[in-house]
Amino acid sequence: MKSKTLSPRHPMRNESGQATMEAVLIMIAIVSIVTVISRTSINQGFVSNIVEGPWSPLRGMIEDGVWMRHTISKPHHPNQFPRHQTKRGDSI
Amino acid sequence: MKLSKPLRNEHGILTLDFIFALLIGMSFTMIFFALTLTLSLVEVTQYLSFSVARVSWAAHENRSAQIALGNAKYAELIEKPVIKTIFGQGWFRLPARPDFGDPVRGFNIEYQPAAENDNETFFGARLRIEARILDINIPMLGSSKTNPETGVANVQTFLGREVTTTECREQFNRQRWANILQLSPDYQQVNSSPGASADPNQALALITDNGC
Repeated sequence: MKSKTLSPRHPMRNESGQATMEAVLIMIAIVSIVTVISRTSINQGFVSNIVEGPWSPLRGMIEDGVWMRHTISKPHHPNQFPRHQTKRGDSI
Repeated sequence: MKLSKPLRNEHGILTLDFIFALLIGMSFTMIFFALTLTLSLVEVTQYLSFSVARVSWAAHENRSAQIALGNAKYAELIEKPVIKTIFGQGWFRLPARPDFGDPVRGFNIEYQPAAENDNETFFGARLRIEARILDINIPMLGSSKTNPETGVANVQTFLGREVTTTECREQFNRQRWANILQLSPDYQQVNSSPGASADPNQALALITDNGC
């Protein structure tokens, strides 16, 4: 049986435009990866965690002087310490 | 290697790297600049709250007068050129007036000091600062602020306060006189002379001698 080969001038052997097609596919792949990373970053709060993560303990320190979340720091404010005046004074 | 083939051309890869690195680098620089500036200006606000609390701490005719002095001090301070400049950029927001809490109990209602300590010292001034600079939106990576409470803090100073003249007169001296009158029935006759008021409570001119 005689094998059927394409002639060199057959349109199927024309490689013109292949690089363009591959460039488009690569761009689609890159854009998809960037989109996934961007969406994951936004959903996971990558940037917001940098600011919002430490903010509550920072606020606890700003408001009440203790490294605790501001929602539980009030009972630990230094003014809550039972300090009393003494008439005895310091021993020499 | 034939550089003429577009897919093998690596020109520009450095530019892409640079753009990506610049985006990440600038983003982190902005975030940490905002955080450090916020912490610095919290200290400035702490100074403001201390000044206001210190001024409203001293004895006066009544609590309203103490608070009015604190408000006047705050109004004076935020009009200073330095303070006005750093807080006038829109990056931070301070309240128009400081908060002094409950007129009678200050912030003791909120802090609930232990009753056995008999220690109500949560009187002072509170400035609610809002760091709007922390609200940064970075392309592709998202916003730095999703919770409206982020960047908001109560900068406050609790120094206690001195007793006012009114409190001293009405809640101490007058009560003491009323208790003295209760010691003996004879004391009830005070001020019962003709022409005088029958009320013995009116027999005494209550004065404060520089405090209670």
